[in-house]
Amino acid sequence: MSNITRVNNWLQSADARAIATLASRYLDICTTYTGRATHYNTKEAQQEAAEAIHEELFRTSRGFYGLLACMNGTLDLAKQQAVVRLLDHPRYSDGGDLLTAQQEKVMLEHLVQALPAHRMFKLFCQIAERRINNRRTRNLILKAIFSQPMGALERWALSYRSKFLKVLKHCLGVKGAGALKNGANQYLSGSTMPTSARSILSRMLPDVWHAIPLVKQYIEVVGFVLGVKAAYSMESFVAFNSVKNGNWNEGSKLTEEVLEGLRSTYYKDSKTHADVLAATKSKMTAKKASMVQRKAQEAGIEVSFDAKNLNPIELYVMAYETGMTPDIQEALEAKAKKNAREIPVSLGKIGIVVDNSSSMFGHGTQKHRPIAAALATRDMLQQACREHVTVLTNKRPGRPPAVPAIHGDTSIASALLEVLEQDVEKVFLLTDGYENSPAGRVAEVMSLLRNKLKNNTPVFQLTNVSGAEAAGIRELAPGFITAMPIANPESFTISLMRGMLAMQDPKEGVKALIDIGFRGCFNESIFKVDLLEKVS
Amino acid sequence: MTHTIRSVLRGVKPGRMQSVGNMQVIPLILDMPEDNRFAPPDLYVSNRNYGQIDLSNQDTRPTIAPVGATYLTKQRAQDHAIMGAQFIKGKSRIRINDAACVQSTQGGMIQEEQTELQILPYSLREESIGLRGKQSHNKLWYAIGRFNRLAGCAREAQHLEYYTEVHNALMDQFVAEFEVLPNQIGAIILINGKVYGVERAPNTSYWRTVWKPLIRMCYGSQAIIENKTSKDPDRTPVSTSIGQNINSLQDLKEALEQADRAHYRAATRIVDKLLDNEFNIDDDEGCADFRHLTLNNDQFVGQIIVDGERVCYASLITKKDWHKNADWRAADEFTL
Repeated sequence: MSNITRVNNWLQSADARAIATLASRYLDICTTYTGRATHYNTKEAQQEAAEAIHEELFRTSRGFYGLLACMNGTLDLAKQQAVVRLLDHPRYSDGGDLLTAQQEKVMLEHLVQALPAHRMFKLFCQIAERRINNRRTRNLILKAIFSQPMGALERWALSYRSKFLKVLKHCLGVKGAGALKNGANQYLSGSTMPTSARSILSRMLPDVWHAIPLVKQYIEVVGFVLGVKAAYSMESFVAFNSVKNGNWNEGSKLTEEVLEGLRSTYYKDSKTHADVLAATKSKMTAKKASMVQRKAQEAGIEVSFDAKNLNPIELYVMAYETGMTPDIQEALEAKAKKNAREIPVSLGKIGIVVDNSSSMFGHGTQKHRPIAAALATRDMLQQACREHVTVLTNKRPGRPPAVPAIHGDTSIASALLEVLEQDVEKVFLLTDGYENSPAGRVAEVMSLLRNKLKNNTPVFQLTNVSGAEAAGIRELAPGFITAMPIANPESFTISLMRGMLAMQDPKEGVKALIDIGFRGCFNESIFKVDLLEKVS
Repeated sequence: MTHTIRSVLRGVKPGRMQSVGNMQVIPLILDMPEDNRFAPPDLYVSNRNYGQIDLSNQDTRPTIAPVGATYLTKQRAQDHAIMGAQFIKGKSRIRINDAACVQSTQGGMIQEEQTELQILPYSLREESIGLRGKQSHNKLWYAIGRFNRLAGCAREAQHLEYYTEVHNALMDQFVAEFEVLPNQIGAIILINGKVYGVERAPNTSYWRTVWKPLIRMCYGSQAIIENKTSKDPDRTPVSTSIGQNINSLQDLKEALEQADRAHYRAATRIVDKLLDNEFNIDDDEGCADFRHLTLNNDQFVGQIIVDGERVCYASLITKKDWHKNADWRAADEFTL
């Protein structure tokens, strides 16, 4: 059966309105629920609500549920929950569901690969704690771990050693893990590996088992995780054992977290955290290095980092705090292009209004985040369209700086008219929704545009949400402007989909979601939907 | 020397009025060199007795604890507020003996910490100015209970933090709604088009520090009370019609510019009406090279700190009685 036939069959038997409502609630959760307490709700109450929505959508269709979790922009927690739920419930037949078993396998791999390492291990530990142990699960976990490049595996073995061990024991069983440990021990001591251990390894590593030069390294990784005491050849394992045995200087080859772990156990009285920082500054992760940039700059210390490893919002926050550099600029451009490719719509000539008023500064721990999110979204839209007219709400005379100054009151209406004068096809207002000169002016202008001038250019308000409370963004002109919360540029597609689901014909909305899901997971467009046309 | 609002606001000009819900703010923009002799009031707070508070300024420059500075600590200790403004020299500590406890059933002394600055709600300010010099830690309790009732707090005990617990999200919204402009050092605050306060800071960094507590608790609380609801005030924007005679985008653009100009004129008209009412000086204290004056006329009460004739700091609120007869004063005079 072709994909389109399968999907159409599923659509015919489904209650599109109920699914659209459910999907909309689910997308809210997927983009905002972080598992933490908020100003309004306790952690437990939020968790209960999130669980209920996950379960309800899963019961409706496991394929549709998984596709939504795969969307570009869903939070990692939603992806983790989806993987656990899909693995915990076996598929009994292919009949009637949106995806085949093979497609579901690809989708699960897609979900797991999208997670950063620490979350992936957290997910696998959850799976172990819940005793989800079927062949599908074991294969997924082992493939996700051992298909990584050797450098990553070596790093993970050090940084996530106890979690790695727990996952291995879960996949191999205690006996299997014991046999493997024994085999690795013998192999690394120069003897031949027993057959039982060889057979376990060949099942674990089917793709690399015959790549002889790599096998020793894989066995070292597995042996290190399982606690084999042997003479290792991999640099970081050697350094780890060396530091453990009293040679602190070797610590410079380890990451801060690993060395801090060793310090707190073996050097409690003789070394401090400052010694750890001094020893590991060359091994600092890009995110950590970016976090200390401002302080380092003030102190005249150079801490290098790779801008490519940060997301565009983090890069803009950094540019505001320490200044824009060619590296940051280059990374921002590359990320904008990448995110633009993910947008499933054609944008044509667009107008972009960036609110750079004082309230976009953010506050507390979210300093510079609202403006950073707006600028990152601006970059993505500029890359995704044919032509654009971009204006700031508060311009300053002279050449525009690399990052616009955040200042002044919020007067969006005149900026909106400025872009509309350029015959744009669509307008995007990137704002926090706080208008004050005076409040209500944009609504008044939109009313005149629509009712008096019969100007129907679609206008979208994209408002950054960074906490768990996505609901209730402040709309500039309800009824005239489609307001969409976005957590980051990647979640632009999800915001569009929320708009789709609120449409008159819910079936169209559901079809669009399936289309995006298929494009993301299987590189195939089923219905070739233009989302933006439909939302506006 | 006599003081009026005109003299207090010398060297500033009104910015574009910001208007959201029932609150409006006319920003005051500096139109002369900035006075950077004062540090922002980022003070360390502690106390050893009820009704007493120690404020420590760790900056090398002097600073001013604003009128009604309030410190709600997270420690198991009694929250306190000061009644008037307080001048504090650079790198020094002062003890204020006429502070008030703002939490009637909590005991304990504050261990030194840098607590976030808050400012007493508008409806307590007039009373607190009158209580300067009175050494009694419970002197504001009755007024706080009344304030909590008015502000729709379910718990009516005399704890100021009950108000912040109930209205925290809304107060944060006020901060986002009313934005600080470049070179802004003060503001005239209005609720439903009526003036409630005039604030002036020595410089922009001082202003950025005091603006948040002013708009959140001091004036924000009054906006909530004025709305006569227990929770969200009416978020309906003020009517700002930009006309109907519009046939093209160009017409709409011009109408918008006209409306902006009208909005600005409305702000200047409001300011004009305040300017020339002379103040009586109730109290005049010297503090280093500066003088610390308590002012009062039929409309305003508050304090200013001056260096000769130069006003460095001002915080003046309108009296409650003034609002009681606002309709009468707004009515046209009798003419034949």
